[in-house]
Amino acid sequence: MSFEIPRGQILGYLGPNGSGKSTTVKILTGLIEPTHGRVLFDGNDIRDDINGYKRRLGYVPEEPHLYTHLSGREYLQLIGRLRQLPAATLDRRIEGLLDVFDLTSSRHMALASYSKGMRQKILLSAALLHDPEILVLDEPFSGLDVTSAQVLKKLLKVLANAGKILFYSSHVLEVVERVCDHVVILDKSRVVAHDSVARLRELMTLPDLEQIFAQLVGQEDIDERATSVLEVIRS
Amino acid sequence: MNLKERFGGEPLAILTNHFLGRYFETEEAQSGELRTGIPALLGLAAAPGFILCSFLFEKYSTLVGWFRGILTLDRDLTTLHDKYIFLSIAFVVCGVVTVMKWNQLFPDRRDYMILAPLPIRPATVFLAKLSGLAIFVSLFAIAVNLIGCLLFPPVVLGNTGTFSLLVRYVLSHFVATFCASLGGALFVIVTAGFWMNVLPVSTMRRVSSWVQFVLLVFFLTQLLLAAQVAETLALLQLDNGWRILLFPPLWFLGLYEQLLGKSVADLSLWASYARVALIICAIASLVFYVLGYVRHFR
Repeated sequence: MSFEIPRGQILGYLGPNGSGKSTTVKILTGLIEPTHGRVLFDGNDIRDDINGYKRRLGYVPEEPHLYTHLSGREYLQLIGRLRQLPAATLDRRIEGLLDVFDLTSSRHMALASYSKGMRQKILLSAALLHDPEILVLDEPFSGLDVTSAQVLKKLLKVLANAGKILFYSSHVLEVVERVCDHVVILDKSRVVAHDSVARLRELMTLPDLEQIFAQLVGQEDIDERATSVLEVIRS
Repeated sequence: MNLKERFGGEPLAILTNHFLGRYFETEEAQSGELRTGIPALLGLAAAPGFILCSFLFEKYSTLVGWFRGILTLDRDLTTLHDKYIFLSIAFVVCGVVTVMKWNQLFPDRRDYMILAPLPIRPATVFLAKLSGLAIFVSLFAIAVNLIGCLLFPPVVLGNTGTFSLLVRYVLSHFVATFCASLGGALFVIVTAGFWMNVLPVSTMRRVSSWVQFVLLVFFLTQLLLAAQVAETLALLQLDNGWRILLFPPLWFLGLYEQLLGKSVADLSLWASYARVALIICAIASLVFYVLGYVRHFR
């Protein structure tokens, strides 16, 4: 597969389970090396200077892996110090992000006691702490409350307008449709669509992304499957 | 590229400190819980050494001996028993503490998921984890043995030795007990590393708690039998058979006596067991650490 994300664009990355979304995310974040092909950032292969690339990358993982014995503030301090941010800048940004995400009152509590949404906010804060140029988000809305989700939707737009590159992998089609400029739809590890949501709607003469997605990845039998589940649990 | 850049410089120090701190924390500590903290845990480890020394004041006191009619005390022979107890405590405490930190001994998936997207060299993470573990084991080894090192030699020598003998006694006690602690910890690390590299991850998860159970039984048996083994040291010296291999603190007793310059032939053999075991465990730990890192972190 091949696709490009210009600065200032939010690219939605969609696909059914097992279509290769997570593998793409791992390759983009440098967690694994591609068996074929390469990832170019500003025209350079990221593998040529992987740490240079990671300095400019922010990543929100799907699973909330955190050091749960640390408090929210301590965790952000650890990440910021490992990114070698100056102490004053780090403190200022931590305070600001904790405030924006309503975590100030719980900043000294151990992450083990945080709810899923609170942990997600810490992951988001950690990804934004160093003002990254490229942001890879894997289900970033997972567990967020309504207000925080609204803030994040707006934030993604603001970040894109500031010239950042946003890669957004998700299953939540309604949010992708509302947030992303362009979408890539995967099926069986292949790109089956790569265009703006508006243009896909126009081309496929379908009203929304959910129906476009269902048609492209061959999920016409959704009603039938749902009915089957009910039959199975009653059998 | 200088050494600091090659091995991570500041991130190495930050990560080492982080991994070290992680050994002293409960992973799922809840918000209301007070943190146990490093000094409290080290103090707990140091307590048995202090208690044991306080009991020995009376045993080696020449005044108390005079009241009891013991005018001459063979200190070399009498101390073997106590040295064995000190060595058993050193071996068992560090072994048990290392078993308790079983899940954090090697770089794990959580470390990988959190640290791999950051601009840190994988070698830095590896070195930091290894350094954190080494400092953790060393801190406990020092805490467990420090009071014994400072109190036991003067208690034993009383007014019978010279200052140079006292210094040699302190150093011998420190080296022997530190090695015993290191031996206990390395034994656990090698065991964990072996199973981690041999078994698939899912099987390891199931087997892991049973391996820890066996290790804890082994260490607690060493401690519970320590007094009895100490009583039969003379017999064990004569026997010198396979039974010696069952009680690692005996090997370090050989090392202790050798360092003191009082080792007879049989104890030299025990000392050689200690040296060989330490070297094998250190090399095996390093090999398993590298393999575990490659398997789970890269």
